[in-house]
Amino acid sequence: MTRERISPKVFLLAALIVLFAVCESLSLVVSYQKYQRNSSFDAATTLSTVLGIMNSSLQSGDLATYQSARARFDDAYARFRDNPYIQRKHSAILNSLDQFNQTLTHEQAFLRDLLELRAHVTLLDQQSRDDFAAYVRSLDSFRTRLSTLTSPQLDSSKKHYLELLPRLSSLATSLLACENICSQSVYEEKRVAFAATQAEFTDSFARLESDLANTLQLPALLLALSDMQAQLEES
Amino acid sequence: MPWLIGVNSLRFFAIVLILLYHFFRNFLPGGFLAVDIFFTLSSFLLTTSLIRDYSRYHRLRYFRFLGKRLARLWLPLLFCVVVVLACAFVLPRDILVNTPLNALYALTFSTNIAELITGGSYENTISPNLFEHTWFLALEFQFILFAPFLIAGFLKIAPNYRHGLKGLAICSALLALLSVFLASLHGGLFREPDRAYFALDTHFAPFVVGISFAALNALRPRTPRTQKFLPTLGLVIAVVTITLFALKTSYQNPLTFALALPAVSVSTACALFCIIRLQPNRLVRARIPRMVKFFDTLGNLSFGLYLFHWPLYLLLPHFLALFPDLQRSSAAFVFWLIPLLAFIVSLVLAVVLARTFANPKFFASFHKRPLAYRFAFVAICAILIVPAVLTIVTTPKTSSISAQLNSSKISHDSRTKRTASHDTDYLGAKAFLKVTDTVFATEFNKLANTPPTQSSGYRAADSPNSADVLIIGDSVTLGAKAELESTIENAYVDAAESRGIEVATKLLAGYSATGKLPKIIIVSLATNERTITDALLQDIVSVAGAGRQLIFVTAYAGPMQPRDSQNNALKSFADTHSNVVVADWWQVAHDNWSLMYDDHIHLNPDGRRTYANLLNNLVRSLR
Repeated sequence: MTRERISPKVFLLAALIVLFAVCESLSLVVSYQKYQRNSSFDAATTLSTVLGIMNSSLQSGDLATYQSARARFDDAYARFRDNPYIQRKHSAILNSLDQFNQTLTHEQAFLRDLLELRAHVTLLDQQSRDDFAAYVRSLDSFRTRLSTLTSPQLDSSKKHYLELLPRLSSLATSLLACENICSQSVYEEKRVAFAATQAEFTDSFARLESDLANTLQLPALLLALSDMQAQLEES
Repeated sequence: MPWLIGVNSLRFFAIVLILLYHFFRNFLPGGFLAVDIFFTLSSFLLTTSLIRDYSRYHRLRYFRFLGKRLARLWLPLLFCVVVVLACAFVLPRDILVNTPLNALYALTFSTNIAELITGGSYENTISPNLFEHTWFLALEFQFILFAPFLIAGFLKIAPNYRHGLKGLAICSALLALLSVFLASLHGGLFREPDRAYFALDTHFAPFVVGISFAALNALRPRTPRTQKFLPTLGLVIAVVTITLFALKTSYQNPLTFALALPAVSVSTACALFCIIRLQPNRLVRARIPRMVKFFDTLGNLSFGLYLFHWPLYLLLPHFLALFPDLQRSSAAFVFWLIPLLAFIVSLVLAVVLARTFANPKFFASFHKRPLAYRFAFVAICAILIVPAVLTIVTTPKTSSISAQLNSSKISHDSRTKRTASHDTDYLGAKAFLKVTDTVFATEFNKLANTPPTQSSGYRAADSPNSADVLIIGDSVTLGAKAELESTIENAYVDAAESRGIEVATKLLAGYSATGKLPKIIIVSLATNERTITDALLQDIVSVAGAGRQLIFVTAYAGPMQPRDSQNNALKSFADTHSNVVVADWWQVAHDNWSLMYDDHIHLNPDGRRTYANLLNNLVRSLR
């Protein structure tokens, strides 16, 4: 049996095919990495949009907008979390988001309740001080809503409010009763007492919301996402 | 090879699709697919020619083949480059930045490689590439370099001629599949359409489809024409298929590379098959239908039309800008006028090209022509070359628009660094000051040379936290940054080049996280956006939050890039949202080109002042 020599042309052809395969593989690897980077940027943009909407709706107490953003969050978060480039390069922000997601899941009912209460508070704030009949009705509605709350996080605040609300309600009722029969000076005195209690009520609510914001750390997350996007843009 | 009646009609069909795509992209978003018709036809014809040559001489006459192809491509290209550069001589230099380099890329058949490296695109409006379309010739030439070896290789190693052709047909079909697979990966899966479209490895499918079909056609014995109905039906189906793909596909669609482009190549091969079946048994010109003759004649001009339409389309708005009366014409008139003029002038130049540089017999018989004719030809060439050379010599390296945008960017960057410096440590602060000193010096010199504006002279807000108005914008806003900040009280401008509107949500979320967003937010990001959806605008409003007033600014991007759909989307959204109003910049700009630089997008000093006043009036009415 004789061994045939490989023709130089065949050898050259084989070398060219191997070269083509190597170059093409390298090109595909580069494209894949670029694609991962681009898709991680898209995922971060979507997530920061959703978080931004959640942040502003929490700030303004817009329950409907919050709930629609919350519905989009899971999908945006899953897309962000499952991106291999983010897993490889941005594990720190991923950890923060995992923590955020756990808090959010845990406090979902709490947030919903809080936003509903906020709607009531906004309504209270919008009532004309002189329209005490409507104000008292709103207070009653707020108290009913508060007493049906189930969130354990709200228990301590609930207690405080349940003590505060009857006081506020009785002051408003007495103001309402006094409106036409009391002298101007007595009325003014009652009015000042009412305004102080009302201010206490609003402050307590603001503190509650502030605690909530600290628990969620949404602004910090948004800033971290923003930094990450800037890094992605640069790379 | 014998003349194939109808092939040039197919070329004419392809050039019509390409022209419609370039002139009215919204109407025919997939018109770019038609380049694959050219590639398949060209490959079929050159393979047929090579197979015949090989069967006659039993060897590959590579350099003869290459020389002929080069002459057919390069001489017309040279003529096009010289004519375009000569025409551009009278135009402002700003729009010609990079043109000499682009001309060099075109003449060396490397435009596609240069575009891949530099990331250029047909949509670069700041310094448009007049020779962007020559990527087509570059790709074809790069393929021509390799194709003869593939064809001759099979014919040589096969035991006989027929086996060689069969092997060539099968191997080419497999290579087409490989190319489609690679293009689908790059263009579809990895979302890099430019990589898939401009590179040879991912765009050689139409060429190898042409080779495969040519090999199969060479195997088929010539049979007399028996019927016309089925081939005619096949031809119609192929043309309709291509048209439907051109109407329904878009460049960004992931299926374009896996489905649409291969379908166009296969449809072209089918159309070719039908055309061959429809050829008369004996070539008698009188028997050719008049319509086919007409379209064949027009198709003969397709190469010239392709070469000239794009640079003329880019240059004509600047020529029209030389006539102030035309600027006052309606936008619709200008919108139709420029493509029409570009087509007519391209057609005239294509006729000249077909009779001279694209005609292989022209130079062979040149010495036989009358002396006056030869003298006139040489004189015209010389007259064209002089301004072309002067255009190259006098074109600057950067445009004044870029310089102005860079100046605004430096100002913006320096202030960003200034606000960030609170967090830097001592060493960092020292390094920071060293950098910013230089930046401030440059900035100061530039400001000192800037003519004063008729503004209220407000001091800009240091950060969005302390601002009453936040302006988010693209390069148009970036250019007008100084005027905006000095005209609108306590405004903060966040602008950068090439931004789309989707960036607004990201930026607003970031600002919202750092503290309180201003009560008034102006979003001027419609210039670079192809589509604006209600969902996107709703997200912007939601991220901004309740109680904030948003102003969306309509876009004007020159007469050839209408932004009607985008502007209408902004207006209809504002109609349904009480906290959103529209600042109609389009209304101000569309019939007042004197407010803009030569690109009809970016604002000159007058335009910047007008732009700032428009926004300021709206802001004051909201305050």
